[in-house]
Amino acid sequence: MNDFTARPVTDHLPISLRAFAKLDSEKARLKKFSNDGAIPQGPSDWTLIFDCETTTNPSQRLSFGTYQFRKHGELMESGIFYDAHNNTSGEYAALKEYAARHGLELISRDEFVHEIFFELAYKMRAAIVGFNLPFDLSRIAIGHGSARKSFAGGFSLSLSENQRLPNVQIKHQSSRAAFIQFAGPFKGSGNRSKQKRGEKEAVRRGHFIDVKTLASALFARSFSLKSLSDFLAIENSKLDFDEFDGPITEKMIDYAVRDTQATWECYEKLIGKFNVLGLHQTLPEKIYSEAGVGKAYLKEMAIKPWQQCQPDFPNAIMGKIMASYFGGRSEIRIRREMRQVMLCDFLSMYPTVCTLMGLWRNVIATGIDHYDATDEATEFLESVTLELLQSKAIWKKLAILVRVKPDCDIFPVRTEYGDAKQATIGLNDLTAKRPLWFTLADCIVAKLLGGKNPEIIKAIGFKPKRKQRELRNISIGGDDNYCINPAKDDFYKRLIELRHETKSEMHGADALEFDHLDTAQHNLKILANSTSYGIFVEINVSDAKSGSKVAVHCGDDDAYKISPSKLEKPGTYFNPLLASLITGAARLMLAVTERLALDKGLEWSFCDTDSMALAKPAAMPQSKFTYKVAEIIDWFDKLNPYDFGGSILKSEAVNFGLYGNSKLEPLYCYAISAKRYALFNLDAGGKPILRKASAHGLGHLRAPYDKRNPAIGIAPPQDKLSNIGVKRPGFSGGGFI
Amino acid sequence: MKNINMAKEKRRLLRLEKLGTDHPICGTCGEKDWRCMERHHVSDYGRDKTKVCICRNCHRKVSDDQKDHPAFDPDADPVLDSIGHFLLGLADLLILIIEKLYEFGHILIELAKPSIEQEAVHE
Repeated sequence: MNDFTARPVTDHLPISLRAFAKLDSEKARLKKFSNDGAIPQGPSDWTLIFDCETTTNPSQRLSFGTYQFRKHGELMESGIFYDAHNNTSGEYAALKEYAARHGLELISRDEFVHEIFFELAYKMRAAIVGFNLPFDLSRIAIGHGSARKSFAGGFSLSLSENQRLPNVQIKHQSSRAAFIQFAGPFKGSGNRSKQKRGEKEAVRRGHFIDVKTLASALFARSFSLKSLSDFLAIENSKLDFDEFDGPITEKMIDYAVRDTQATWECYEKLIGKFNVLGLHQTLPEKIYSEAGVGKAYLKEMAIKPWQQCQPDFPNAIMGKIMASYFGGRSEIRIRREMRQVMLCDFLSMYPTVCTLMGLWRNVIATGIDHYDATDEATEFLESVTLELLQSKAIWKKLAILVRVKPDCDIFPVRTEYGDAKQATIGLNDLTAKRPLWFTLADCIVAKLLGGKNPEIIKAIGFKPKRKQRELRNISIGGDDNYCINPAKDDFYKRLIELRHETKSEMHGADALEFDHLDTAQHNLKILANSTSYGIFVEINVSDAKSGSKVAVHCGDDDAYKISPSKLEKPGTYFNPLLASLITGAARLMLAVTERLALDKGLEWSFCDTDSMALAKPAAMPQSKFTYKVAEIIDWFDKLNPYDFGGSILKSEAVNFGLYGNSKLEPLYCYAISAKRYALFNLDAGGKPILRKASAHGLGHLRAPYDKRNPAIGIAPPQDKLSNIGVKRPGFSGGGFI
Repeated sequence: MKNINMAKEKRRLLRLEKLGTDHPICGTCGEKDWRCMERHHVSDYGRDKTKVCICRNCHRKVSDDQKDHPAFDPDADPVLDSIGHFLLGLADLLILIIEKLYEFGHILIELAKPSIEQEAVHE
C-alpha cells in the first residue's frame, strides 16, 4: 500500500448526491400503523371478470367485451356486451347469434355498466377482476379527467352520465401495477342523517384486482395472459388469434370468451397461491409488487416501521445517510470484445450481507442510536486487510458512515458520464474539494482497489435500540415447519436456511411433494428478496402543490429550502440507513472478488450487483483459469453465515454443459454494457449456442408492442437468431436480432 | 342470473358491509345470523366511537343497561368521563358473557350426567 501513485485527473464533472427532502408538515401526515391483528374486510364472495376487445385503429375504442359474474367461484351469469357505435349491423348479428347459441346474455355497454358493473359489482362489493385492468376500464369509460387528492397525477374515468355513480380513479405505478379505486360518491348522495350529524360516511372504494399485477408480485416476473395461462397450467388457456383487422367473427368471439375464462382461472389459482402465504392482514388487491409481499409479512409479524418508532430522528443525519446511498454496482470492464468467462454470483447477496452485518436487529428495534465513530472508523480502516475480511465478525463492525475528502480514491460517483443526459453511477477515481459521505464498506473498497486509505474527517456509528415488544411469530405459507420467531431468529438467515433445506428435500421427492416443496422454496425466495433491501429505500414521487417549501438535507449539518415541483414521500418501511449499508456491503463483496481476481492474474468482463463474469486472459491455459476461479470461490467459504456448508460465491449453472451436464463448458461473453450482454458456448463449427442474454432497458423495442400495434419509428426485426445459426437451447422460437 | 334471490343477497351484503365483516358473530351469545346483527356503541352513542358487533337481543339488553349509567355532565373532564363510560359499557357486556358462561356450564354438566338407559345398563 505504500507504492501508491496518484493517477492524473481526466474529467471535471459535476456530481449528484442523494438528499433527504422533507415537507415541514410531513410528520403529521405519517399514516398510523396498526398492528392489532384485525383482518380487513375484503370483497364479498362475488366476482366480476371482464375483458374488452377493441377496434384496431389508433383510438382502440370498445368493440365488444365479455364478462362473467360468479359467486363463490360458481358461474352465475356470463355474457357479451357491445358498443353499437363501433359495430356494423352484421357484427351485431354475429354477436347475437353467438350469444343465443352459447346461452350468453347480450347487452349494450350502457347495460353492462349500469346493471352489472354498478348495480351488481359495485353495490355487492364484488372483486372486479381483469388482466391489465386499467386498459379494460378505460375502454368502457365515456369520459376522463384528472384525478385529485391521493390519486393526483392519475386519471378519473367516468363510466356513466348518472352523476350519482362514482368515477373510477386510476394511478399508474409501474408497467406492472396501478392503483385503482372508486372515487367518492357525488355530493349529497350519501346518508343525510349522518351528514347532518357531521359524521363521515365510509366510502366504498371497490376491490379491483389486476391479475397481471398480482402474478408479477407473486412470481417476480412479467406475464402476458398467454404466458401466465401456461405458467399456471390452467385448464382453458388463452387461445391464439391474430385476425383482429377484420369484422367480428365466431372465432374472434370464441377468443374473447376464452380470455375471460382464462383470466378467471388464473385469478382463482393466484388467489390460492396468495392464501397459502398466510398473509391474513393484507388483501390481495393491495399487493402491487414483490415488495408488497415483503411488507405484508413484516406487518404480519407486527413489526412497527422505523419511522413510526423514531419520528424524531434528526433530519440532518437522514441527509447524511441519503448522501451515502448508492445502488448496487453494475459495471462493464471488457466491452465489445468476445472473451471466455466464468460467471459467478453470490448466494442471495442482500440477505447474506444483512445476516453478516446483523441488520435484522435494526428492523425489529424501537429505534437507532448514533454516536461519533471517527476514531473507531480511522483505526478500523488502518488495520483492515483482505485476509481480515474473511472473518465474519469484521462485517458486524461496518454499521458506520464516514465523511471523507476524496483524493484520487475509488468511490461510487453519480454523474453524467460522456454525452449521457442522465446521471448514472460508476466506481472510479474521485477527487473532490468538498468532503462527501460514504459507507465504511466503500472506504474499504477504496483501499482494496485504489491502494491507499481515504482521509476520514468524521464518522457516525449506528446501533439499534431495544427490540420492539409484541412481535408475532409467523409460519411461512401457513406451514409450522417454516415458523419464524422475529424476536429471536435472524430473519434473513432463517429464510435462506429454510430455503436451502427445502431445496435439498426436493431431490427424490414424489411429484406431489415436489410441487409442495417447490411452492415453499419459492415463497421463501420472494420473502428473502422482498424484505432485504428495496422496501428500505422506497420513495414515492408525487406532484408538489405550488408554493410548497421543502427543507433539503444533503450531508451538511444545515439544510436549505427549495420550492420543488415534485415531492418524495418515504414508503412505510423506509429506513435508508439499512439500504445504504446493504448496498455498500454488496459493493465490498464485489470489490473483494475483483481484488482476488486481479491478484491471480485474471480479468473481468462485467459485474452486476451480485455477480461478476471473470475473464480468462488470452495466454492463460484453460485448466489454470478454472483452477484460479475455484480458488476465488473457495475464499468465500469462511464468510458463509448459514448452517449449511459451502462458499457464498457460486459458479452459475451457465458455466456447465447443457441439460444438467456437470462438466465445465467454455463460456464466452460479448457485452455492450453491464446489463446488455450475451453468454454463449461455441459448437464444433464455431457458431454460438446462446446460454444467457440480458437486454435490460430494451423493453421499448419489445413487449407490449406486437404485430397489431408496432412501435412507431422502430424498424421491424431483421432476422431470427436461429436463421443466422444461433442455437438457443430449450427455446424453439428463436430470438430476434 | 342463476336462480338466486338477488334482492335478499344485496340486503345481506349491505348489512355485512355496515357491520364491517363478512363473518359477524355476537361477542356475548355467539349468534351468527347476519339478519339480527348490529353495531353497539360500548360507551353509549355520542360518547365514544368504539363499536362492537352483537346481536339484536344482546344489543337491546346492554342499551337498556346504559340508561342507568350516570347522565351527561357538561362540566366533567371529557377524557376521564369517556373512559369511565367505556368501562361501564364493557362491564355490561362482560356481565352478559358471564351469564352465558353460567348457562353453558350448567348445560354441559347436565349433558355430562349419565342417561337413564346408561344407568339401567350399569345396573
